[in-house]
Amino acid sequence: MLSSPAVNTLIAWSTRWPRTVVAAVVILAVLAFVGTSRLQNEEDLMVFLPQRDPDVQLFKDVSQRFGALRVALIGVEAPAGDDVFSTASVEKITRATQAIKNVRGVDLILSITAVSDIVPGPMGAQVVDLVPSPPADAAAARALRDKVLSREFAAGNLVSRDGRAALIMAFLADPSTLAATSAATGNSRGKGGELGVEEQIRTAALKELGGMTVYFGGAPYAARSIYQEAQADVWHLSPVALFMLFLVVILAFRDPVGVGLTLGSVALSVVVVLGAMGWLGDKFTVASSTLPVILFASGSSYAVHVLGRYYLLRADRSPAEAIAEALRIVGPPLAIAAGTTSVGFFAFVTSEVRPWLHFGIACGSGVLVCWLTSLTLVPAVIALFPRKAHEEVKLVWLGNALVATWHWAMRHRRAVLVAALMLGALTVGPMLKVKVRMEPRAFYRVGSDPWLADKFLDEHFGGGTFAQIWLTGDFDDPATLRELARLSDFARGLPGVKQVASVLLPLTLATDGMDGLPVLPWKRSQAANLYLFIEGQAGVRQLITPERHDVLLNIRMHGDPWPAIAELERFARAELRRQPRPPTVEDVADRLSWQARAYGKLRAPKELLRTVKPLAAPGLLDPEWTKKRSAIIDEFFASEEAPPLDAAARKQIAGLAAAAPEGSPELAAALAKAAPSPEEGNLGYQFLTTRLGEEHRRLAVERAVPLLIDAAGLPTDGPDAAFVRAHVFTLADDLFVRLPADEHALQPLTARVAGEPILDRGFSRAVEHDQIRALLLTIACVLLMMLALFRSLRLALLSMAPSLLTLAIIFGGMGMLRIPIDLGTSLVAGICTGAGADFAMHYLWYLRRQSADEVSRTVGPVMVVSIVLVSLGFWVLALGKSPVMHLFGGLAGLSMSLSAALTCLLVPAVLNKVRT
Amino acid sequence: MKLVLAAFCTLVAVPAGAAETGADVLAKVDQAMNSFTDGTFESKLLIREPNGQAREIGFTTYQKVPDKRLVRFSSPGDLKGMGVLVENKDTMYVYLPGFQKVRRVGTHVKNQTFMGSDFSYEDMSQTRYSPTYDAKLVKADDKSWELELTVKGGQETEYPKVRMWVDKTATQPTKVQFADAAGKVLKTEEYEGYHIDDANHYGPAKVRVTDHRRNDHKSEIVFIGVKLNSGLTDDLFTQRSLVRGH
Repeated sequence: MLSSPAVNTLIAWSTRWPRTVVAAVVILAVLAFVGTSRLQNEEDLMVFLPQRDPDVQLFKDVSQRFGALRVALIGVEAPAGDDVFSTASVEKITRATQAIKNVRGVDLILSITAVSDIVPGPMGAQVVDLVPSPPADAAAARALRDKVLSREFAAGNLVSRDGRAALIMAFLADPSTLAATSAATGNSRGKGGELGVEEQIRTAALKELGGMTVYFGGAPYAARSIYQEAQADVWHLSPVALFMLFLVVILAFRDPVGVGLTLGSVALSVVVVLGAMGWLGDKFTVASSTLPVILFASGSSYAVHVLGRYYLLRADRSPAEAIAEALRIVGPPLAIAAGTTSVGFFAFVTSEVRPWLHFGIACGSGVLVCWLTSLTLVPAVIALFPRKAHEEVKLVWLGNALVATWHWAMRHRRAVLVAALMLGALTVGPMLKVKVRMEPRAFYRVGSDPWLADKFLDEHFGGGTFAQIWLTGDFDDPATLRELARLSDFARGLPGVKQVASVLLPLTLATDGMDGLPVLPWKRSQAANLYLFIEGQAGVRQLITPERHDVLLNIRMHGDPWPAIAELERFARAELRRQPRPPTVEDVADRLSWQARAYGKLRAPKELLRTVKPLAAPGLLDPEWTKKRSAIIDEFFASEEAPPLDAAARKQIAGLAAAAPEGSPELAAALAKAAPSPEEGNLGYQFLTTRLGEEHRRLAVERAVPLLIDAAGLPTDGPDAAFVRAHVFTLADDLFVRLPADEHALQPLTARVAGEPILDRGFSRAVEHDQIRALLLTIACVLLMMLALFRSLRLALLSMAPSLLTLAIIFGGMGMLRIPIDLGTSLVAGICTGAGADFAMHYLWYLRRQSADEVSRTVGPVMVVSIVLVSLGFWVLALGKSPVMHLFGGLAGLSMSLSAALTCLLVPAVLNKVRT
Repeated sequence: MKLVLAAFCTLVAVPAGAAETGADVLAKVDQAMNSFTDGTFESKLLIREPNGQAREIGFTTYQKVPDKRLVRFSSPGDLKGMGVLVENKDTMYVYLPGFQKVRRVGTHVKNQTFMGSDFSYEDMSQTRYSPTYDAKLVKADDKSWELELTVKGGQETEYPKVRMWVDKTATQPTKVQFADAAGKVLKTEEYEGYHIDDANHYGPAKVRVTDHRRNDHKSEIVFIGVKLNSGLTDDLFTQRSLVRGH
């Protein structure tokens, strides 16, 4: 291939029919331009997820099932000296909530003004709005604040515990199923220049929340912000890269045609690649947005090499001879350089991340186009517009410096080699410590929308990292619900866990509403009824599916989530009961110890059992129970639940009920006999015994709660006291409730940990695999190409040594500085191995036909220009706003420069026997 | 609920050719929707989930004009025995057999979706449009009227603007678009298959509601059987009746 007939024919053809070549290039450019207009933006960062990774698949399954993937978080901070409960603040939040709710594409909304509460009412509990209307005055605002902050589902979730901030959560509909435009409604969305859902929400929120500080977070805004910043970087940096390229080339060549050719060849390749992507229906992602700058960096050296050699040869040759000779000399090493550079990108065809794969192909193809342009367009234009020789191109001072460096390295070869070996050895340890970490936060620029939103969530809501546990089972079954509560309490006690939310809380509140007992349902029929009752409430759909076989436990975390995640995965794997059973005293002691741990108290379950075991329900002679029993019986007779009874019957039934409040055949018979019909009597019997049984339990639980709180050392005052009491009440009920013996779970319980950290883990794993695969593939390909070029294993290895040492230094440095590999830095290894090997390869190639001094004086300066071009091109990316671009640009530029510098030292040190 | 009432509309005798205003037409619609003394409607509610699955809920609605209503659920099994009693627009009760207790449902939950469907509790309680909306006749042809409704001052509703297409034969809406104050359509109800179902009353065979905010989530009520003016008594619309299931 290096001097293949095809390449030679192409070169000869280009110089013989230059106009045809230029015309063909123009036609290609026009077609490519048309193609670029077909290119669509891909703003969804989820496309970067490795589709086959089980953790990613799990995350997607959870999202599909519960619709929890895309949640736009609108954070609201009250003005200084105010809180979110003032009349003005509540009015604004109400209006904003309504306006956001009305945005097409918002499936569901949660805020303090769009969430239900359950309060006592004339007929028992009522489902009402938590904030029915804005407070009328300051006193009402204070009362509202006290009320809202006393609700566990709201405090720390929808409103900060200090009342200074509120959160509006907009759950977005699945965009894949949302019609672009509904002709029937005349509503618009998304396409044709109309605002996307996120922007409509932003507009609505900013309009209604004037005077308050507003934050926009969550996946939709994070994706948009990252994409927009990367795109802005490209818009801003492409001209900078172009200018730098222009500056270096004009300084080197002092020839406008040479400059135009160098820039034009790269610009052409950028347009051709983007045009091809457009024609093929590919999308412009945050990754492909870096393509122009990368091609400016890595694709410009081909024209530079051809022109540099041409200007040298032109001194004693005609233009045709000079360009032909230049291409004959630089052709083979340029072909290898194009091959090694492009293979560094093409190696990403093994990537599990689809946009990365496309990006690799696009960049690799772009490099090849740059190379082909240097073989066709450059000679064609030179043939049309012959250029003179330029003395300045020789850059004598630079050549002399390179010669001096060569000799110095030769004289100190041992020191150079020992230093290189030591450096390589020193990097091994830190290199192994480099971790791949694909956290979305790594993509956030300090001060960007998602960064500010994260900060807001950390400050006001105890963290913005959410893990989820997806449970499958029979969630009508009371025992299964209690097993879910066991897992929930376990999670609550783990380090870094700030809040655990599940369907248990709305269920408990609904049971309280229906029965006056804030406990979990204890019969299947109750659970089924409650689900239907709460199904329409905001937020419930994200916690349980309509068929009630899937439940989500949402865990809000702060700081490093991994210790808690590891424990949750262990619990799900080893401790969760597949076949849930009715709760035991040991279960209650375990859960109490976990609740204590959540408040920093260490209480061993065995220790707690000493309190839990002796607890018993009040006996028949208990004075309080005796009094209460009598009152309940009287209430029953006065209610519509009782059948019409005469005084004698009432007396008899009251006596029987007081003697056997749990029910007896005698009581049933008496009611059946006294009622207008046996059916009415039977119904009355059920109502009465239910009332008595529940009140008996309530009394027992109310007595147990303070004892349990005291034993576990849980807080009895402060903002959490009410929540603690409610939790312990629900827990204590398990000591006294009797689950129906004939009811069992209809399917086993399973649990899988999902959520953002797990997704990041899957993403990291995929990138790590990509990194290893791409690096190995690049090394193998580059080695094969070097072998083909040099026909010598020794030279092939030597040509790769500087880039591999560079790689070790870069990654060793990252390990020492604890810089993780992210989406951007994962590219560096391939680029460094591929493009970095070019410098040594060029040196070695020319050393086979010229002395080292000649090579240093003639080829050296051109190589330096090329290195400067490549490095500057990458460093330009480091000027971008996007953190990923910073690191990638900086490291890629550094790797190119370091590869070149190490080439200048290692090659002479190793090749001491080569003639000078 | 208005869509249920739509099943029991009657032909309203209005002289043809009279100059009609929007208010006149809306009054006719309300009259047609409520021109019976009582009715029993057997229906099934189909809730279509985004994943393609559909849930079916069977229920019977007992209605006594002007605004008493009792809904009893018959299927699926876990819903059987559950009931909702609407005493008037502001007073609703629910009976959950698992607890054997009746609880009042606050008017505040009117905007919430009913059992995961696209119908809200407000849909359950609203029987007439005229008390809530002012109407403007924007278009009329041989077959239909097109009305633009705007909420009256002092009235509270989730949908301040409504656009309604009314079939002249049935004097019933064929399509109703519910919008916010800015006119953005939030929900659409479509009535299909109007036919004379009983006692010369027109009723739809099916009502489909699409909630555009929920990604065009759809629910349907299919009417299976209708019985009008059978003499339902007030005793049926009590909490006691709700509990006892008869």
